[in-house]
Amino acid sequence: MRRSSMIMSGTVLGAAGVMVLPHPSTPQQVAIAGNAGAVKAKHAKHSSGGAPKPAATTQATTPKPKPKPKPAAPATKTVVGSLVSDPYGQMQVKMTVTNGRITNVGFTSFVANDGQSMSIDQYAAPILIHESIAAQSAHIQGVSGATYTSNEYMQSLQAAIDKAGLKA
Amino acid sequence: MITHVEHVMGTAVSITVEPGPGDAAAIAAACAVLHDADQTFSTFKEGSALSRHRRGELRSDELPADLLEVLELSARAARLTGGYFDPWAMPGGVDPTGLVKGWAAQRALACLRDAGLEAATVNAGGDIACFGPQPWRIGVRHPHDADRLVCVADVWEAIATSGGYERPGELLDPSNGQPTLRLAQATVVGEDLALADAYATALAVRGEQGLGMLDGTPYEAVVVTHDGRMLARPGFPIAAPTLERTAA
Repeated sequence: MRRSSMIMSGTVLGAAGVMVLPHPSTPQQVAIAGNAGAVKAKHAKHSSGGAPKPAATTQATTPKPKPKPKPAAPATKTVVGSLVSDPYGQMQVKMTVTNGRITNVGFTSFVANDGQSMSIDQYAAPILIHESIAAQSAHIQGVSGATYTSNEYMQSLQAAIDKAGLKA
Repeated sequence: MITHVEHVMGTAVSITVEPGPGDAAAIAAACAVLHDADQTFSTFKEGSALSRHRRGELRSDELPADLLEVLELSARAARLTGGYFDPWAMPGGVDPTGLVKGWAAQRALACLRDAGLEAATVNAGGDIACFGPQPWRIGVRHPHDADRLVCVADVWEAIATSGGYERPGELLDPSNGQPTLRLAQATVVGEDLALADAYATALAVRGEQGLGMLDGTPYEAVVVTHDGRMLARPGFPIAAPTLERTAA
């Protein structure tokens, strides 16, 4: 009814970021790590203290009734999603999971189809990286989105989370 | 946590529980509830109670209790959303499908709760019902790509998202009967997943002006407009905002 019922607005595409443009001869991990750092720094000044802390500190100071992983040797694995095509382009997500937590999210490949989607992805890709890193300390446990089919699930981030075995 | 993925109702349902005595049996019971709902409400199965009801083959006293419950819930949702979610406006007769997944997931969750488990979540194709001593941290997907998030929400009970990648038939504007999508995506949190889903669908059709329909309700929303703006009601429990917040 009244627009004043909303207190905040922003633009999903408005957060500045750096394009993740794969180059055949460029090691992807390097490009991704650099971008993730840049985005984190960019957002840090707007953050109200929510920046990811070292895991040890977080565990020591934040009460987390949620079940913790059983003490065990650090287990790191990398999960690569399917190559996803949509009207905007093609991309493939790569997640690194350490002890059941997402420690890095990047892209192994990304190709935009046209100028417009380039501008969308120019911002959206870094948002995912930033968000997933933020979610790491928040222990993201699921993804909400409009209902997907059984086949679409295979390519969803929820599936990647399930597959990565964030079962602690 | 134990995670189980069940393919049912045309989607994948992820069930995650805090391990405890009887957890496997509880998950099996939850899955049985989902398959039962599929049998009753599938519009693809000619013999389902819903299909028979749509063809007018069932007298009112023959309607199964579950179907009656869902139809009553649908009527309530239609009233609460000012008709912007209306299973009776669907082409081909009443179709509460948009609400059934949430209803069924909520029921499956009840099995897990009744089994005495401490925490659990049921994610039915992106619509999530949960409980536990802490809120669940749920990412809200980006409207243009399922692999990206626009924010993370702290969810105690339920969160549902509707958007353009949904069936066009579910997005009818009651003012003109035309398929309409005034928002790229709408996400609603609240106590009941079926109603949260109905509100999300109604908001996606109605547009940002519709955010006021949640005034005075225990539901909150965050939406993404077609031009890429994210708008959140004050009470929406954003856990890790992606964006700078600016006063409207």
